Amino acid sequence: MFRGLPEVQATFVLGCFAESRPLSTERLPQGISLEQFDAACAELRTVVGQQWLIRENTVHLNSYRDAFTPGDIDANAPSAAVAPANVGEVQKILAVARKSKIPIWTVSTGRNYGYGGAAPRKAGCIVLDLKRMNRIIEVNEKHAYAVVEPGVSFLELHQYLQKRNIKLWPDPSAPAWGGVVGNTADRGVGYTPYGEHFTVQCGMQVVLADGSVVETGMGATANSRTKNLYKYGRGPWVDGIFTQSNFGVITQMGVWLLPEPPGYRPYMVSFPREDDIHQIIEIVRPLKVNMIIPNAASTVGLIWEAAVQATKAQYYSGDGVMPDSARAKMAQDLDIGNWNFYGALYGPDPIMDNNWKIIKESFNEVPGAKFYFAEDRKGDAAFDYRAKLMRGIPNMTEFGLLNWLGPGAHIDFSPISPVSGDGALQQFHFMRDKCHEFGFDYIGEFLVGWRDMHHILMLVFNLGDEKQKRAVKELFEALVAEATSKGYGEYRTHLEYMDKIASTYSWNNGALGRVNNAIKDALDPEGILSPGKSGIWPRGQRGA
Amino acid sequence: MKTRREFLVSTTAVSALPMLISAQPIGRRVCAIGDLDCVDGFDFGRYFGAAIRDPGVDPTAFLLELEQQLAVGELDVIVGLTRSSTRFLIEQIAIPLGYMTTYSGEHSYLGHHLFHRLNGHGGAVAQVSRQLRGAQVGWARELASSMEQLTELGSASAHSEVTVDVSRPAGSAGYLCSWLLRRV
Repeated sequence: MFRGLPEVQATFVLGCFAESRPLSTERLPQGISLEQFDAACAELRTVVGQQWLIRENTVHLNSYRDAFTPGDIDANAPSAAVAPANVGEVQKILAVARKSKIPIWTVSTGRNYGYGGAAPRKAGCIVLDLKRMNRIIEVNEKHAYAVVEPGVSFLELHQYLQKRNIKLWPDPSAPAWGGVVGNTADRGVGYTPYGEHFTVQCGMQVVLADGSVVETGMGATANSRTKNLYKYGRGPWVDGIFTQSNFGVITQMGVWLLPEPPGYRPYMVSFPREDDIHQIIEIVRPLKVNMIIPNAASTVGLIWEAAVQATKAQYYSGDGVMPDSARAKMAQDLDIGNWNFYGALYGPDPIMDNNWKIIKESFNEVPGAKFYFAEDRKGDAAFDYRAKLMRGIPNMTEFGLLNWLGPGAHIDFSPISPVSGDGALQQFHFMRDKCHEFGFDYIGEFLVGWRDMHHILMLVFNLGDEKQKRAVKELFEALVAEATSKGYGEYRTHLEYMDKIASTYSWNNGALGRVNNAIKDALDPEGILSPGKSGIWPRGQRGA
Repeated sequence: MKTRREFLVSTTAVSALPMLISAQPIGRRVCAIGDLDCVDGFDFGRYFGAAIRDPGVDPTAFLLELEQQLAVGELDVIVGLTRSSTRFLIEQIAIPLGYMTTYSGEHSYLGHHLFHRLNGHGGAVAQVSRQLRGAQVGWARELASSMEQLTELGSASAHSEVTVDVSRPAGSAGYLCSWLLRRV
């Protein structure tokens, strides 16, 4: 999890225990014979050593599958996994991939659960697991940045800073074991004032499909002194094309870190009614744009808030959607609202006091709003983990949401919403109603960024219930269709839906897709890098 | 919800770990894990006494410590009765370090019934099923006492389903998993 060890993903299939499964021909890379595959694996072993080519140990290999898929877990099964230790080994692995025409699928810590984890988009790929490349190359306290390799988790970075008493905070994703590089490259978000992760990325090292190593931005100048201080360099700024894409393998990344402020006070404001979301967001927008609320604040729905520490069975034992009476009881017992806004004050006391006055007066316009600081929520696991995240402390508490239904898994539907009451209410209504139509509870939150909100809908389903698994897939399709018809696009998506979501970015007859294809053909003509990532396929596999 | 402090104050059970250790056909070092804030997890933990380990609501520190123990081969077997998220996280740590899940069970309440679904090696599952069938409210302690049998190696896989007439007690999460990871 945390120290450069091989990546793990359990085959969490209830009713079965982990077993050895023979390598079936279906899981070989497309068009590759077993003999060719054996030869390629032999070469990879000479690059990384026997221990780091995972193939014969099928229990371990099975861990590179999508434990949360509602579909066929074999549909994205890899043929092998290989874990290099450094850039040189990455280059050699790519050379083997080019020669043998076997595609690889890159993961950093591979903890992207809800979006596919460490599994490849296409069965038969060899997973390029960068977990062993886990060096924290530099932390510059004066200029407040770090440079890390892909295997570094948010927790490891946090521990590094704490151990050395460096007064800088990372901005973690919700689970502590998420990778700094991987999460940023997937344009993930956090909870501090640096919550828009890609905005605070600065400088990147990338290995291209042909083995070339590129430094972006100011890193392209000789002996650069500003590689991690100025993002854009000169000429076209290319860093963005290596995010959510398959145009190169990121092997280093610079990230800016938040200087520890002189004061920090997390708070929560609860609101009683579902439709309060309209007024809440109308209040949040000017506070956010004017940086009175500086952090990536979250407006969390009732069940997400409750599910960290309560289960559905404790309040409702029937089938389908939790009724309003049970929701009301749960809200009362846990002293939470239908919406729960989490923000934090940062800075010296006079600034925090002044900003709080403005924030409280603003939210007080919503009838029934209640205000809480940490001392008011002692023993509250939900408040505690949010307070940690907004302070840059990684933790694993949010995994408790999986217990909502018992053997829970989730996939996430994540449209972008405007920071407007109308937009938020519209999205909430259609997403809630669609969830209910298919028998699922709405478990969602809005994270506010610079000018947008990420509306994260966590579709929690029972992994052991085939009917529910089918229903959640149908629900996802229905959500995509409705969001598209209303002009909302997703910012990130699960492996199984990457092609579908790519197709919704269809303006001007798919012009953006044609640009992506042109870049793909130029940078990876043999199509060895992560085929299908974000719906981008090598030339010979488009439209397949 | 019960706390670990309440658990330690209330338990009078002598640690059963020496019993487990002496029965081990292979390996001798066992770790028992329970989510003690659930009343069923609490009962499971009482069987093991002070040796039970509770990951807590934020299992970060626990997982780090466990990973370090597993990496140096300090443990041969890990048994648990936990929420599914706890099991998932522990498996994520253990499997790449050479551990394999050789037993798993689901224990869920619905209405006035408690459903047990067990999977594992050999005849141990059948024997555990018999114990659970008669256990009713005290099923978690029966399960704990039977974990010794689940550690025996066998080649045939078995599946068992047991339903008993028990309503969900106050303070129960309603659904827990039991599981055993063995170093291979």
